Amino acid sequence: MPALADIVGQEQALGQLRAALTGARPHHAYLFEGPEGVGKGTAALALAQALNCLRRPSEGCAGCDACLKIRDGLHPDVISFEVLPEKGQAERVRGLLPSLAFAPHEGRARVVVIDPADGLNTTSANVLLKTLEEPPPSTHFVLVSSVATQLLETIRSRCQRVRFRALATEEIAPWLVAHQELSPAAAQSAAELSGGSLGRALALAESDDLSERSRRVDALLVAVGGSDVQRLEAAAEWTGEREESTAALELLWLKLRDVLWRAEGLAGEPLAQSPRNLMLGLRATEEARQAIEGFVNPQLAMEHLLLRLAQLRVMA
Amino acid sequence: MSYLVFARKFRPQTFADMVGQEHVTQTLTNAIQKGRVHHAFLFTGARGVGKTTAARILAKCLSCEKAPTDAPCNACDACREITAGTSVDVQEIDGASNNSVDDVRTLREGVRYLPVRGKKKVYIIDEVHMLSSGAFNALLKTLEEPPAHAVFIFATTEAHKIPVTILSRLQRYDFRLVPRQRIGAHLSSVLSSEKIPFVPAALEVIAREAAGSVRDSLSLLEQVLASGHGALASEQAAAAALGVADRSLVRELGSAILARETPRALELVRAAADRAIDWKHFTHALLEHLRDLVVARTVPDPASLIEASESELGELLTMAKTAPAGRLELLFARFAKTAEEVLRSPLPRYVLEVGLVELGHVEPLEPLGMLIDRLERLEARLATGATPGPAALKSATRSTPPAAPSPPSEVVAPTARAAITRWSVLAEAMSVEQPLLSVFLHGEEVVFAPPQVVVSFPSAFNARQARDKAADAAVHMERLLGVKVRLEIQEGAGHAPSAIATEEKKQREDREQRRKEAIDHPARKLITDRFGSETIFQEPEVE
Repeated sequence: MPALADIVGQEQALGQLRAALTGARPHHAYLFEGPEGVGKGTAALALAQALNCLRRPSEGCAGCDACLKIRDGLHPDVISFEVLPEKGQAERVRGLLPSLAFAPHEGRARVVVIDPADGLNTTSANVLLKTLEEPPPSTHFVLVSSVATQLLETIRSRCQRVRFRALATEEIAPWLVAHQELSPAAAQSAAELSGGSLGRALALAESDDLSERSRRVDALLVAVGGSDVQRLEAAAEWTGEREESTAALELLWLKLRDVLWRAEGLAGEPLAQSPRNLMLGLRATEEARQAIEGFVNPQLAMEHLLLRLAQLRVMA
Repeated sequence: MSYLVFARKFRPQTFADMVGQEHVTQTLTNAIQKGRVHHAFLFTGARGVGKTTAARILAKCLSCEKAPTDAPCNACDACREITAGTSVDVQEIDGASNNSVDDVRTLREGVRYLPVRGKKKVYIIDEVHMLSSGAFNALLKTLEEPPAHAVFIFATTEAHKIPVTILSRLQRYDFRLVPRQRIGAHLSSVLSSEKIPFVPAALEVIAREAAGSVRDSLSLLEQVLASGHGALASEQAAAAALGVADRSLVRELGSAILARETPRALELVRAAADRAIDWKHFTHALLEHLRDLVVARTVPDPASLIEASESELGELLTMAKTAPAGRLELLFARFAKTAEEVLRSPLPRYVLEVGLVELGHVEPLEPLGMLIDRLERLEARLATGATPGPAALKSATRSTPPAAPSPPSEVVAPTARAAITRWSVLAEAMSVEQPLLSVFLHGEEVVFAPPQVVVSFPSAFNARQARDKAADAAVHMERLLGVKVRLEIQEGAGHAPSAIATEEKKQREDREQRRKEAIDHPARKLITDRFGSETIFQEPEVE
């Protein structure tokens, strides 16, 4: 389990936590917010380690008993409250609270990590309110959420926010090359598709789908320039592939964006194509992606999209 | 190790310390002074504005050694116990955790006994909206006629979830959101007492982000302090710590959009990315900025509608004035769509960028009538065999976007001046420029030979309205036509039908046509033959 120092690209969030730790004034309720897979959960445990570390207090060593126990989820004072969409959720939260009244068992601070906080239903969230505002001494809450706007306002207002940002493509790609032995090209496209999430980039890089997906998306673009029959045939390849087709449309969107950048003369070699049509094409692509996410038949959505792109004379 | 956060450390302990809730504290103070304290209160309002705080202070007012007093001493045992939350007579109950009928029954058992120390027993039920309906009902009788020594204070953000039978037994106090200036002042007093140096502009950022909640503002303040290693150095630092776009960045982006400088706009987005700005927030801020521009252009005195300092407002006004009519509204409408997409997309930054490229292409729409007129003239010229010269062709196709925004008076004039050969076109162009002149759409053309224009209005009412606006219209007409117009307004039917009359006529004909088609349809015949009915059509009521 990495200490605070090993989290990639979150200098600001970590700076905020470090300043609180070294000034010995950690807040009693943190809200870690930011996209999936950028290190929120890791940081929550690292914070617990820093608060309880035996060797390097306020920093965490990842090697002492306390740090190891926290890594393995064995520390009695670090409670990872996993939020599940279950029926007795509010009861579980209620059950958690009385135990907080006692001083920590062996550590210096008790840390309750609630992940994902947006999974709490209204009742459970309300149950937390009073304790979150004025918890017992030496108790810290860390609420982790990738959609913090879905939390109750009353919850958010009680927490100090720590913002984890989406990583830039230029940060993810080199990391993938260095740690995953990926080719720079593959790393680049995994990074672009990750939406700034290292976790997602890793998942993309580990699966072999990426180059295959890229090949299939190129085939789609060829079909756009071909005949109606070719277009319908190309769409037919996507029957029933809901998840893969939304991922492919994201990639297609990015490719079209590159074309738009060239048509606008913003990057790459200039290209004679109507930017207006390209923008309509981008919008159509995004609409198709959302339609498929909203349970429209992928083949139909693809057909519609390809015909539309052909109509707009989009070329790659 | 245990550090008390600002929101707890600076929790007000007297009514006088509370921020921005004078209408509540004054009423309560008066009630205490006059000895008319109700036995059941409801404190409601947004998060972090002082409901729980007020409840605790009220409890102290009633329990202090000097009770009843409107200024509790905060020094006697009773006060100290309440602050520490250990008082026997003042019970603060978490309504969300103790929300069952059984919990209420236990509470009711205790209400009967006299207070241990003071004169009153105070029950504060926080988050009271979470009580079950059974629990609420179990409270009804006690709440209506409690023992003389009992006082109930309910606090909640969601008063609408409380049954009306409960509400009617409570004296209700609505806590307001605190204005930005008050929050700023409060923050500066907190910082002064902590001996932390600060710049006022940074507080402004925090106060704006707190959106009316004092607790939010204190949490945000600590967040900024933590990021800035205990100092509050600049507006930019505060904005960066909170992940909000500082106003200057948004303003610059706004001016880049207006000037159609797409590369600069994209460069600014990259700058925002470097500062780890939250894209949703950034998009929202830009949308708000565009809205401000629209308001600044439309409303004569927009100060009350736009939240901005005076210098910012002046800048907005100048910027808004440079934009041609209708362009700002279009920019807003387009960008509103982009903003929605940014919210839903897995790739928000890229969607935002493409949205900005798109804005570079936005052109104000010309009135349809003018385009048709232009086409007709072109057709006429083609029909007479005269090939239009390159200049004429150029004026008929859309001109390329001007590099710099042109002043508004030139927008319609140079291309359109020659195009206006009919009253209906002129009227439409005027009403686009100034909606208040729409009344001229009712006018029917009698003579259209600028500078002489004679227009007839079918109703005396419209004619009177038109006469009222004649002076204003003359200004617009002069600009549109390039000559001073002598406008004569008549009453009664004119020669050429007005734009509105033509439209209505067309709709009538359309309706008639559809009706005929439906009656002639073979399916209709088949149905009436089969079922022998005579009533065929029910015309929908036309509004």
